[in-house]
Amino acid sequence: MIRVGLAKGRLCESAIKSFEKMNLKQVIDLNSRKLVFQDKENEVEYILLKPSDVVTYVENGVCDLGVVGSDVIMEREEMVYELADLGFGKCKFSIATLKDNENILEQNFIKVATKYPNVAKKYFSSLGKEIEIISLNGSVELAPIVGLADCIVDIVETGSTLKANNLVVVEDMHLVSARLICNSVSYRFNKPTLVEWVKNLKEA
Amino acid sequence: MEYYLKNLRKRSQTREAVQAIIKNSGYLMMETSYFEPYDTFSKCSGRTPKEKTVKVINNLGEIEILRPDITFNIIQELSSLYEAPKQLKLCYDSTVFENDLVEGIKEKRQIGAEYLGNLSIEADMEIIRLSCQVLKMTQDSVLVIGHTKYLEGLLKEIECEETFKLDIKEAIYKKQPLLLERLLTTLNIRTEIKEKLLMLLAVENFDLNTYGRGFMNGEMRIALSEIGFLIDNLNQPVEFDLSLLSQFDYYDGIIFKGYNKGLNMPIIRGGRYDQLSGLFNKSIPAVGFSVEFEGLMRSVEND
Repeated sequence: MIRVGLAKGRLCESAIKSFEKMNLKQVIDLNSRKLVFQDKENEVEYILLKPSDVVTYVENGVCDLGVVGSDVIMEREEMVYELADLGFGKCKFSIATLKDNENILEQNFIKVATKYPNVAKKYFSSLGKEIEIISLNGSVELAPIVGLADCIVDIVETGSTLKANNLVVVEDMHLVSARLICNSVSYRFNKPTLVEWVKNLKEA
Repeated sequence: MEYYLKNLRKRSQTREAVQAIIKNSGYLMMETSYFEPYDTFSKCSGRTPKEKTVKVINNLGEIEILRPDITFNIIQELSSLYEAPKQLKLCYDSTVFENDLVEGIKEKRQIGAEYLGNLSIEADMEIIRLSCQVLKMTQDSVLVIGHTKYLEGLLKEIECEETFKLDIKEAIYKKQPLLLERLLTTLNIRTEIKEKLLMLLAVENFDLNTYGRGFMNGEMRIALSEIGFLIDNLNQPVEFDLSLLSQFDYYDGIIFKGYNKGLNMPIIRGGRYDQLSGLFNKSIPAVGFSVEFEGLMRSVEND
């Protein structure tokens, strides 16, 4: 039995479609409150998880595979193998700030609010910038408005949330998309199945 | 109390069983120092990260570390004694130390063997066979074999800073094909080299022939011929993966890791490390393996 962790939320429906491409049966009912679904025929079990937990479950080997955004993978820096870019959930890691404050990056010291402290730290240190990180769990757009931070680092899909809060992107950092990840030990024991799935995924 | 004694008995039996496998092939038990100077440690970057070592201060106020691995220790100790072309078979069963960032100082038992002074692939085969024998103590395990010279050969063809090459290795170690591709597009390198690097991370069944096609240099040929020799002669259930890397930077040649299905880390690590003795101005061909004893215990219990 191979166990797959799926990130609940915006990626889930597309993830299910991807598994259809791998010639797997559709057994997941998103309208129910169940969190575990079994496809006995193909010996696959799906579990629905919080996106940031998918990496934890896969890293610890509780899930063999996982579907999660590369934003989460980059932030967590854990040892999980990446098997394929699933091509959906595309967005960008960007630096955004208040309109009329666009030359923020020229400042020597910057206060950055984000849900992704590791990604932000790495990026700014590659620019040689000194920053202070303010870790938040949500609504980061609020931080520059109320003066908690000079700018934010967040994933931007359409930019409408930024616009609504009078923020503009000053720099794009990385591209983000959904990935199929695998536990490093599980990879060694399920290689033939994984090869087949990835092949089907690419050909579909 | 009953459980405690049962556990002690089991540990003792398992240790004896592993030791027996190694000693029966003529390996002599050796003991090395628990300490090593911090300076020598830093020379060999890519071993345990600095923050994970346990530091102590000696009577002269100098920093020493409690050994993070034993192989390095053995080579250090023998470097002043060794005379070529002597062949030595040594083994150990002792403790290494790690400063876990969450759990504090951890003591970990390692049992292993080192075959010194033998350059031939026969020595690699002997060490791999011993590893397979230890792995057979558990069910559902696999030994994965790679070769550092294939990747080193490819990296030699790229002109960039060493730190950038470490980034490339890190992407391969963590099997992150998209990150690797992004790193490579920032460099001006030949398409054939780039394709071969990306091929290392393709999710495909291992086929030696595909790695031999297109661009090849000396290092890569050595890697493929040695892997080919193992495929033909090893007669053990093993897997091959040329993207296999170790966090210990001293391996140079055949490299391998043994996994158990129920355990989330390798229980066996090993490979050839001829260059390590160069740090002490010696040249001692060497190949060896070590068993993470706690991992092995848990795998044996899982069965």
